[in-house]
Amino acid sequence: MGLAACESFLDIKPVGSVIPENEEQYRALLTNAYSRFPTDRGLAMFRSDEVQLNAADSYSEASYLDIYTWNDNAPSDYTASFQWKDYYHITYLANHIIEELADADGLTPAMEQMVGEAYCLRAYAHFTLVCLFAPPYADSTLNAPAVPLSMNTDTETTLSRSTVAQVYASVEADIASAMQYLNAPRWTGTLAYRWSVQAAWAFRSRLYLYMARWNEAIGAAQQALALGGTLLDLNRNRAVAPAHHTSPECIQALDFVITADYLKAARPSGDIMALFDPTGDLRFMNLTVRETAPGEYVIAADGSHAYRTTFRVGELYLSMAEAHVRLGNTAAARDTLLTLKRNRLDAATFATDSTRMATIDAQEQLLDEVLNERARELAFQGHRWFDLRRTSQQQLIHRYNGAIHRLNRADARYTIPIPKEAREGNANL
Amino acid sequence: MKRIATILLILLATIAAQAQVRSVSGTVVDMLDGQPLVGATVVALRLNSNDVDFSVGGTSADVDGRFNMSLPTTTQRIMVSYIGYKPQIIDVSGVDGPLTVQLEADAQNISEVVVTGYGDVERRKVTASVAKLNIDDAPRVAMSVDQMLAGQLSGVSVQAMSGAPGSAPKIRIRGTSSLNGTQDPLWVLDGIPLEGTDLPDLEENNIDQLYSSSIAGINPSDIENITVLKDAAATAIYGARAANGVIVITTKRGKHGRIRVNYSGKLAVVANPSLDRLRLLNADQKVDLELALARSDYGYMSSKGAVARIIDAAGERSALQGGGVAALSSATQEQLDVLRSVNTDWASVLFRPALSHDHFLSLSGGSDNANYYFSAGYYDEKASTIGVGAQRYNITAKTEFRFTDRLKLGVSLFGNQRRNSSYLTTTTGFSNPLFYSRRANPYQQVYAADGSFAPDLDMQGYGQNAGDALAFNIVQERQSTSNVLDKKALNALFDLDLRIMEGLVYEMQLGLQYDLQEVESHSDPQSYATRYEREKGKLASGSFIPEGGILKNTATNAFQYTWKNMLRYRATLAEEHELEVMFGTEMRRNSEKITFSAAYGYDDNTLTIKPIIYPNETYATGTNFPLFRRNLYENAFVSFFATTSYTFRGRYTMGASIRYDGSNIFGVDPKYRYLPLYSVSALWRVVDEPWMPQADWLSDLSLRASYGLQGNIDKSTSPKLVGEWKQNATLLPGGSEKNISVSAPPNEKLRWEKTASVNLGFDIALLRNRLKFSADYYHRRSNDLIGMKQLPLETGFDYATINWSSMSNSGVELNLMATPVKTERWQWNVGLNLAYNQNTVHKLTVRSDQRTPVGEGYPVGAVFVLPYAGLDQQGYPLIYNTNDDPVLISDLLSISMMGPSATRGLSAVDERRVYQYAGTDEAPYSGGLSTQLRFDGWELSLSAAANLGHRVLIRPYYDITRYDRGLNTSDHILSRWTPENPNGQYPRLISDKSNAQWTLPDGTTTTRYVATEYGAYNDFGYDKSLSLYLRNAGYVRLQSVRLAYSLPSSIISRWHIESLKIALEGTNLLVYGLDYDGFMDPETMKNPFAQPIPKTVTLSLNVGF
Repeated sequence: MGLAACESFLDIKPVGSVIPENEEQYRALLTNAYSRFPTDRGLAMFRSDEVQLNAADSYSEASYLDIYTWNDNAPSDYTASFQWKDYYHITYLANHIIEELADADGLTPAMEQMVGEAYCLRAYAHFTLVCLFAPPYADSTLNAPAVPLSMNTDTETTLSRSTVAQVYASVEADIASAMQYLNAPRWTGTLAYRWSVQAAWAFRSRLYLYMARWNEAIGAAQQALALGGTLLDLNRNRAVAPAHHTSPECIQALDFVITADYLKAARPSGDIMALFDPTGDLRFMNLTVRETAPGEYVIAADGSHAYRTTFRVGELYLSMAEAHVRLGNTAAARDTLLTLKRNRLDAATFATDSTRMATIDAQEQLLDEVLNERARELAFQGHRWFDLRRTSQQQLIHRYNGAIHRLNRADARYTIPIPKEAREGNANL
Repeated sequence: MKRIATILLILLATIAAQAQVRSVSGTVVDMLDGQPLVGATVVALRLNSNDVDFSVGGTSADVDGRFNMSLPTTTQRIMVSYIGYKPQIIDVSGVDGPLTVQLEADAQNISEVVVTGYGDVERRKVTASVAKLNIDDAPRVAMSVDQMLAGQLSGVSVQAMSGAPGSAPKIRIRGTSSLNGTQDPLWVLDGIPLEGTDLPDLEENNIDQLYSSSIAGINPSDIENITVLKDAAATAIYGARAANGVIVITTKRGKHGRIRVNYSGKLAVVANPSLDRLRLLNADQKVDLELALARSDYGYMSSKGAVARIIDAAGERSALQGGGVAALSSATQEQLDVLRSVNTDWASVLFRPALSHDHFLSLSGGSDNANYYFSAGYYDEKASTIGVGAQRYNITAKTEFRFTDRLKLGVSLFGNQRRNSSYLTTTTGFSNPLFYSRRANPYQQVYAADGSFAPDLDMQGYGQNAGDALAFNIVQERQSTSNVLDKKALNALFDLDLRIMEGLVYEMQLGLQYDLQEVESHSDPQSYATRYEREKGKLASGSFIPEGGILKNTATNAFQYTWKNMLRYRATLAEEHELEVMFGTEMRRNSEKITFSAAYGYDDNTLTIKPIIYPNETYATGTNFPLFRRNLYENAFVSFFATTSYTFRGRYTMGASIRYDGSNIFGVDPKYRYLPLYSVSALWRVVDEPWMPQADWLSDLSLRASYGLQGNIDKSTSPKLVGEWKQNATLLPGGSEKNISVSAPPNEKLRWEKTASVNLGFDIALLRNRLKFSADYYHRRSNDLIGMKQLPLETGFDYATINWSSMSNSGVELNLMATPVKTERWQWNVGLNLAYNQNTVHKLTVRSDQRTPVGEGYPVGAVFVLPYAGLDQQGYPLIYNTNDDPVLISDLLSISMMGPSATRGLSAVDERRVYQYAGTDEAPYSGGLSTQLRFDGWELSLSAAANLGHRVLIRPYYDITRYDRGLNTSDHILSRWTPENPNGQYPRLISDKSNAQWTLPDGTTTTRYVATEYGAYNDFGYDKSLSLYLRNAGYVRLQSVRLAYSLPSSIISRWHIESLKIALEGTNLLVYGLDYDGFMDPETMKNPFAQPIPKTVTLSLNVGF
C-alpha cells in the first residue's frame, strides 16, 4: 500500500477549521475580536444613577439586582457577570495579529490598518478593564493594583496586577503604536465599529481627560474633529439620535451599551429625567427616552446594534469644555458648551439658557454645568458610571421593592471587584 | 484452531513412523446431548507422559463425529479434545471395537482458545494477561453486558454511576491511565472495535443527559463470552485506542447439527425506593428550623420558605425576632400549624414500584456448508422513577458459509432499536425528581385545595412572588414534559477466510457500524420549562417566544467502517519449533453528523410551529434561542501491524507485536502522524518440563512475562493557531463579515503520551483442575500524559491542552477457582477474584499559584482535606494548622477583606501544605465472589462484588454561608451550633455581619471583622474541603442471588422439550457500605442527582427445543 495513498486518506480538513494566514483570514480573526467586545459599559450603568431596575421582570431582578444594589459581597448565582475573560481573549487575538504582522515585510495597507486596529483593541480592552476594576486615575492611586496587562500570546505565564499608572501608560503607548499603522481616516456605515485614525484621536482625548492631562485632551479632540463629523443640529433633524451609529456625529460605534436584556431591565431614573428640560431639550423625548404609556418611560435605544456607540462628536465637545474649565479657560469652556447646546435646545430655550450661562463665571459652577450637560448628552451611552467615578463619587441611592440601598460618597464599591471566576483561576489577583 | 491442528497433524503424518500399525476408530459426542462433535482432534500420547507424540499422525472427527486412525502398537493412550470441552485421555491398549468418546462441556475451564480480535490464540501459547468470562456465569438480569461485569473479573473495576435503566457503568481496567482523555476501555464486537462506547463525563450537572452506549444495543443473550485484554502484550495490537484495556465480545454462532430453538423470558419487579436513608427533615422540624433562622442573624435568602412568607405577609417578622413564636398572632400560629400538619410523601409522588420484562428467542443450527444463528429480543425496563424507562428490540443474524475447504465467508448483522425515556431538566436542576425529592419542603403540597397544582414558590430560579409566571410544580412538570432518546443501530460484519496454502491464510474483515440517534425533549405550553424560556424572551411588549410548546431535537448520525486485511502463516519445523507470523493493515474511518433543531410554539395536535420573530439580530444570532446547529466530525486511521509467536517444544513461547498507527491531525506535519507501539512477551509452561513430576495433582503450571509500549496523542491540538469559521458577524445592522473564532491556544510543545507496561504472572491448576489459581503483577508507567489544564482567564482562554504529568499504576490480581465438591449429583463451585491497584502521580505541571494541593506522589483520585478540629465556642469550624493547633480559617490563611471580597495572605505554596491527604476516590481494592451449588436440576448461585479502600468528600450537609432556607435538607442541620445549642456538632450558619462580638479559641473576647470568616467560606468554599465531610466509600454489594431448577429430561422429553429451566433471581438486594448514612447508595454519594440503584426480583423461564 502506497504511503502516499495513506497520506491522502488521512488528510481530512475538518469542516470549518482554518489556520489564519492571509489578509482575508486575519481580518476575519479581527472581526471576531471586535464581535466579542463585552457589553460591560451597559452593565456598569446599573450601578450608576441613570437607571432604576424594572421590578416587573423577574429575569432582570435575578440578573441585575445585585449589581444595582452594589451587592458585590454575596451576589446570587444568577447575577450577570462582567466579562473579564472576553477582554483578554480580545487582547490575545490582538497580540497574535501584532506578533504575526507588526514586523512582517511587505504589508499591504489593509494589513497595516489591521495592525493599528489590533493595537487599539488591546489598548481599549485594557482601558475598559482599568476603568471597571481599578480605582480612578489620580496621584494617590498611581501605585494601586489595577488589572493584568496582556502584551503577548504567552499562555504559560501567570500575570499579576499592574499598577494604575502602568496600565494607563500602556494604553497611551498602544495608541501611539496604533497611530503608526492606522491609515483609514474614518469609518462609516456598517464598518463604523472599527478603529480609525479619528477614533484613535478620540480615544486619546478620553484617555487624557481621565488622566487629567487637560491640554492634551483638548489637542487630541481637535485632531479628531479635524478628520470629519459634525454636531447634529436637532432643530433641523431629529430623525436619528446623535448616538445612533448612522448619525453624522458617530466616530466609532463599538460598545454595545444598551443590549436587549439591559433595555428590558433598565428604566430611566428620576434623577436623570430631572436633569432634562422635557420640552425645550430636543434630545429628551424619543432620542433619550420614550414614553410607552402616560408617565411610563423607557430608554429610547431599541436594544439593537444600531445604538452601538464608543466615540462621537458630542463627547469631544464636552471633553474640551471640561478640560477648558479645569484649566481655568472659562470663556472657552462656555463657548464650547454653548456650541453643543445650540444644536440640542430649541431656539427659545437656547436663548434663555445662553443668557443664564453668560452669568456663570465661577469655575466650580461652570464645571457642574459641563458635567450635567455631559450626563444629559451621554445618557445611556455607557459613560455615567465612569464619569461619576472620576469626578464627584457622590452618594447614590437605589430603591427596589421598598428597600433602600446606598452607595456612600467615595464608597470602595465605586471600584468593582475582579470577578470571582478570575480570582479563582489566578491567585495573583 | 482445529483446522490448523489438522493441517499440522497431516503434515506430521507424512513423516510419521514405521512398523506395526493398528487401527482405532470411534465416535466423539457431547456427553450431555449426544450430538457429534465435528472436528474433534484425536492424537496419540507418548508413553508414560501426557505429551503429544508428534511422530504419530493425528486425525479429526468427521461430520458425524467419527474418526479412524492408525496407531503404532506401542501407543497406549490417545487424547481426544475439542474446543470448549475437557480433553479426555483414553487407554486404547486393550480396546478392540469402535469407541464412543463422550466429552464434557467445560464451562468452568478456561477454554483452549483466547479470542483477541486479531486471531485466536491457543491457550497454551497465550503470553499475555487476559481474563475470560462465559456469559452464563454472570448475573443474568441486565439490559447490557457492561452491567454484568461487576466483580466477575480481576482487575476490572465496574461501578454504577446511576440506577437509571441501561445506564453504562464506569469500567476501569487496571486503574486509570489517563488524566483527562478517555479512560474507558475499547469494546470489540467479533473482531471489530465499536464506536460510541466512551462515556460522557457524567458529573452532577449533566447526569440527566440521555446517553446510550453502543454496548447497550447488544443483547447479552447473544453473547457467548467476553475476553478482557489487560496487559500491553494483549492490547498493543489494538494500537493507541487500547491504552485503557480491551474488552472483546464473542457472540454466539450456529453449531453443526439440527435446528435448536431457545426461548427465554424474564419478568422483573423493582421496589419503590425509600427516602428514609436520606434523613430529610419532616414538616415539624422544617418549620422549626425556618422559625429559628428567622429569629437569628442569618440573612441569606431570608425571604424564602413558607414560614418567612407567612410572617412577612402578616408583618410579624420583628415580633418573631423580639418575642419568639409566642409573640406571633394566633392567625399566624394557625397557619404555621397547618404547615406542620402537611407531610407530603415525595417518594410516593415521584417514585413507583415497576414491572419490567425481557423476551428472547433464538434459532440456530448448521450443516457441512453453512451454519446459522438467528435471534430476536425484546426488552422493556421501567425504573422506579415515574416516567423513566428503557426499551430495546434486537435482531441478530449470523451465517457462515463454507464454500470449499479453503474458502469461508461469514456474515453477521446486529440490528437494534432502543429507547430511553427520562425527565427533562432545566438549568436550575430542580426538575430532576431525585434532586427535588431531596430538596422539596415536607410541607409543600402537590395540589392546592381546589385541585390545581400548588406552585412550589421555593423552587423558582428567581422571582419569589406568588402568582409569578414561573410557578413550579414537580408533578405538573413531569406530566407536561418528556425527554426521550431513540436510537437505531446496525452493525454488519463480513469475514473472509482463504487458505492459500498449507499454513498460509489470508483473512479479511470488514465491519460497518451505523448509529442513528435522536434525543427529543418536549415541553407543553403550561410547563415550567416552556414558561422559563418564554420568560427569558420577555420584552416590554411581551415575550417574543411564541405561545405553545417547545420541541428540541438533537439527531446524531454516525457511521464507521473498519477494514482489516491479514496474512497469517503458521508452521511447525522439525517437530519442535512452532512459528506463527501475521502481517496486517487496517483502515478505519468514522464520521458523525450532529444536528440540533428547536421548534417554538409547537402544537402536538397539529404538529405545527409558530415562527419566532426576533426583535433584533442580537437575539437572532445569540445563543439563548438557537434554532439550528450542526456539527460534523470525521476521522481516519491507517495502521500497519505484525505479530509473531514462536514456541519451542510446546513449552517455551515468545511473542512480539508491533503496530504503526496513523491518523488525521489537522495542522501537523504528516511525519508526526504515525505512532509506533510494540510489545514483547514470553511464556514458560513449567508443567510440561520433562523434569517435572508427572503427577495427577498438578495439571498446569506456567509463567508469563510481557513488556509493551502504548501511546496516545491529542488530536485537537496544533502547534499553530487553529481557528474555526463561524457564522458571519454582524456588528452593525446590515453588516455581515467573515468571522474566525479561536477556541484553544496553540501548543508547540505537545508530545506523544507514552505508557510502558510490564506484566508478570503465573497460572497453576491442581487436582485435575479442581483448584485453579492465577496471579499477575503489573506495573504501568505513563509519561507525558496529555491533559486539559485550567488557565488563568487573563490568558484569554479557559483551558489548554498540555503534557502535564506522568503516573504509574501497579497492582496485583489474584484469581481462584475451586470445585470443592463434585459428585454425580452435587457440585459446588467457588470463584474468587481480588485486585489491588496503586495509582501514583509522579510528576505534575503545576502553576506556581495553584492553591489546592499538588497530587504529586499521590493517586490521581487523591482526596485532600482540611483537617477539621471541631468548632470554636462560637460554632466556627477550627482547622489544624501545620503545628497541629486548631485555628480559624481566617487565621490559617491570613484572610483579609479587600473591599467586599476576601483575599488570602498565605502564599499559595504554604496553603497547599495546609491540606492533608485523606485517600483516593478510586477504589484500590476490588474483588468479586461467586459461588454455585448444584444438586441434580437445582442450582443456587450467588455473586457479590466489592470496591474497597476509597474515600469520598460528600457535599456539606448544608452550605454554611449559603444554606437556602427555602429548601429541605437532611436533619444534620438540626445539630448545628447555635447560641441555644452550644454543643452542636456541626458548624454554625455564618452571616455576613461586620464587627460582631467574637470569642477566640483561648476564650478571650474581642471585636473583630467576622466578615473574614464569612468571606473565606463564601468566596472560596473551604467548607467543602473539611475532613468533617470525608466518608469511606467502600462497599460490598450482593449483586445477585439466584435459584434455578432445570426440569429432568425424563419429564420434559414427553413434551418434545430438550431443556426447561425456571429461575428466581434477586438483584442488588443487599449492599453493605462502610459509611453511607444519609445516602441511597454508596456508589452515588457524590451525586445527589443520581437515580437509586434498583433492587429487583426477577422470574425467568428458559426453554430449549
